[in-house]
Amino acid sequence: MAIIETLNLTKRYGKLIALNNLSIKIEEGECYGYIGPNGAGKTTTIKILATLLRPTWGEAKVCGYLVGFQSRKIRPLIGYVPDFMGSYEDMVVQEYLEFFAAAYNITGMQRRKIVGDVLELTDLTGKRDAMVDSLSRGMKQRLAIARVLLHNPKVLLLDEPASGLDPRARIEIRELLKELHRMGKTIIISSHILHELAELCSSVGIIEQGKIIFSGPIPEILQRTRLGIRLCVGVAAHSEKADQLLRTLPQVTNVQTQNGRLMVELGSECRDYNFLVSALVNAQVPIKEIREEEVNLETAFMRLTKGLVH
Amino acid sequence: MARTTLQMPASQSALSMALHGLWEDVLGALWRLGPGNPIADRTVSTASKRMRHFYIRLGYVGILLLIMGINFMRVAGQQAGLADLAKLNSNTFLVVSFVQLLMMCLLAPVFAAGAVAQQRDADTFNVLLTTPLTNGQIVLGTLLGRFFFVLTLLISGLPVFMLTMLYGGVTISEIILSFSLAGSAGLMMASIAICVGMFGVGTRQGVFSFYILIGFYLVAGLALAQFFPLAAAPKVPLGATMALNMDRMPVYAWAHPVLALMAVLGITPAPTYDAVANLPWPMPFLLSRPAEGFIVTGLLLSVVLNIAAMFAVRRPSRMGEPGVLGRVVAALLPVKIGKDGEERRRIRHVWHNPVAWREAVARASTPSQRIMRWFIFVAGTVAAVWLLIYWFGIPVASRGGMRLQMQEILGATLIIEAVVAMVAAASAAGTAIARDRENGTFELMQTTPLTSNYILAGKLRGLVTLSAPLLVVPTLTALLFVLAEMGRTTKLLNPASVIAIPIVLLTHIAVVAIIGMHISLRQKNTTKAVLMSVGTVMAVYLPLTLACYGVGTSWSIFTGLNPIMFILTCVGAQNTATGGASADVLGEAIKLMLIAVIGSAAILVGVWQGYLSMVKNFDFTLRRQT
Repeated sequence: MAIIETLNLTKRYGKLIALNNLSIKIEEGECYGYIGPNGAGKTTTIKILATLLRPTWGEAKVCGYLVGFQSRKIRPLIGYVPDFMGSYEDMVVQEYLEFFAAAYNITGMQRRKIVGDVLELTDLTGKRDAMVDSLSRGMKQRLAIARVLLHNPKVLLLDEPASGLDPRARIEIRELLKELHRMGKTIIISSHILHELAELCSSVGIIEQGKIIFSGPIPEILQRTRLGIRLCVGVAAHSEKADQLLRTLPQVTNVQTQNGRLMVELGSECRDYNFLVSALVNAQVPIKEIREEEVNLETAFMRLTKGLVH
Repeated sequence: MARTTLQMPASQSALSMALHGLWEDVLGALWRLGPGNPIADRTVSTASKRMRHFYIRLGYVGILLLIMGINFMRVAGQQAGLADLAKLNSNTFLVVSFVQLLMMCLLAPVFAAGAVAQQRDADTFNVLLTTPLTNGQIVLGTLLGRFFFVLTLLISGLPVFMLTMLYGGVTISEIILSFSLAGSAGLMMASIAICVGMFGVGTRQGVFSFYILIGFYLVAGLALAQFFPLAAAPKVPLGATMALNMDRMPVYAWAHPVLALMAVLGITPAPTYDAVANLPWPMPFLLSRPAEGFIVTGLLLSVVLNIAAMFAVRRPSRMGEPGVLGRVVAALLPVKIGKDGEERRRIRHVWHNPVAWREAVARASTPSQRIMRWFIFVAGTVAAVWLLIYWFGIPVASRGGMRLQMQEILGATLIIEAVVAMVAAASAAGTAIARDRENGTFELMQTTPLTSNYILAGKLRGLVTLSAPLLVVPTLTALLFVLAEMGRTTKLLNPASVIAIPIVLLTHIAVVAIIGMHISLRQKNTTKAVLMSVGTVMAVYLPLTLACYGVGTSWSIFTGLNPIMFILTCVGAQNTATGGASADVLGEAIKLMLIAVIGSAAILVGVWQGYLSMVKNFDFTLRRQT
């Protein structure tokens, strides 16, 4: 059953169409990466799902409840982390979490216990009396995630949680999110760091100019954007000769030199590259390395957003 | 930076070359400090194109012309002689001069506040600090850039003043003095703003505090003028200063632009030099020529402030190395900096309603709030104790004649204390939602199950709880006088005031909080919300007070609806109602309590209605904003 579903979701800001008939389905327990260039409509989608914005047209359902009509039922079921973490002045970490715990009507001893638990889960126990404003950005993001875990929501809506973080903090956040995914949470995460999303997410949605151009499992997008075989060929000598020879082969569509290696693109009709090896061996070019380059999420994203594949 | 130098003939002596170089350096330095200052140049060339500034100037000249027109309309169609016209001109000049000065005092901070807020934009400021610009260039560039607007505003009003010279009655020296006073006031305010900004306290709250301080200085200076008359100054007929109730120029006229202008215009004339010649220097000059005194003092203060600002320009480079004062303040604050650089503090318990807790407790604990509250408390207590000592220092036999005057002083003190509490509440209420929206926390709150009525009720409760401690000051003042006069038949203050004043003021704090919250919900900018909130509260209470004042201090069921009138009733009850010695103290106390309770109940009904209307429109307003 789809835990999040949008149908022809449209949002206009005056004349600007931020979302244009967006339709996506996200299954329960999925970790969904939401990718798109700046201004594509990622934040608008997440804000609609977080009940902060009402759609101009179309519908969005979270856990079966309609955004804009049943928002009060949705709020206890979601946890929203914005790209910029809002914090109150003169509040320490524990007070910040207790404040939001009280907002979710968690009271008394239960509140203390839950705050302690989420602090432990996010590895912030040692920071409970630290002022929120004085925390590093990485710590603040962890605190933001701790906040959304207080009421044990089913869905986590994370808007670029790793932006501006140093490598260590990014890895820590990624591991934390993996743990939450393992715990069965449905996570929607927008990010620009595509290789991390590939590692974390089970499916992705690519949005451009308010329109969804792909939504589905990661293997599917990689398969769909595979245009042909791309080989990385390393030769011990005669690289110029090899370059000229490969360009003469009818099956080869493009040859480029990158870091001393030849990047060879074959036509989509090619199923193997024995002919290429034979040609080089016959021309007495010593082959040092030959491997097929994988299509990753970055390549897939670029191909989809450039309109190379549909 | 490449600089062109003039080629000197070889025959010229080394001395003349050195002098030429020195002259060029001095001139160059002065040029770069003044008109050639890149900061001033940027501010003037970019900001002067703004339509907002044009409209301000247009409005300013428009108001001056309107006042002049109204004044001339009064004699239109009448057979007026030259003497009448001269008198009319003099009268017009008087009104226009006051309006110019007041508008300068109000508008100069608006222009100068940009300099205070500049410090907030630390990225821009830090970039500026990495350039070869000297401290002097940075400070003077900022000052000149801001003062330019004040100057253009003044100059734009010059033609209006020239018109007042058409029929005589106004001298050139009066116009020059009037303009110099306004200019000096503008320069002083711009300098204060820049000094505040450079010392790094130019947050949004700093901007607001700056406005409040200026307003407080002007209003309090006028309100207290009647209590500090200069004996050597010529006496003026009672009523000549209208509501100010002055019979002589006050001793501090040289420190207050409006009072100095009153001396220039002859409303409260200054004494002759000989009359005050026995006082130590420079008092004879300051008292006999208050306008010139204000101008000189203003200029000197501006110089001092700007020099201080120059020393503070590169203070950020010493961040993390507090001086002696910084260490003392840090030791007093509950927040301690750990080895990891994080600030830590003891954890407080969050209330059941987190929104109310946030407004009441978390907000009150910020260093600026603590300092402000302690300042108000200490200043109020000192004033109350001083008044008490002053009153009981007067021989018993003379007290009867002084009673009315003392009641006025006590009333003014209580009113100032009440106004401070209400303005603080209006300021806090103005930030209640706008600031949360600016720092992103309001968005987070909206994703929680908290409903609009829960959020608003929490905010209201929190704001009232936050401001309530400020009512300790007027209550304590009243309590001190009631206790000191216990057992006496005639009293300065109705004994029930100790309970009635906090009750009435608390309900009015709730009114102010609701007004501020309404504005805060609609405004996206916190500073704007605060200014509008304070302005609206003043716009609501000022006409109400003036209307009540017109009716007179008397027992009325409506007295409880206005805190200022209520305080005046508390103070004047014994005189107006019973005439003193035969006062029925218990009866008067019961009457006062009844008025307080009925008035407060009526006010609370209004607060409840305001709250309901806000809850009703909450979602709609937010939706419209998104």
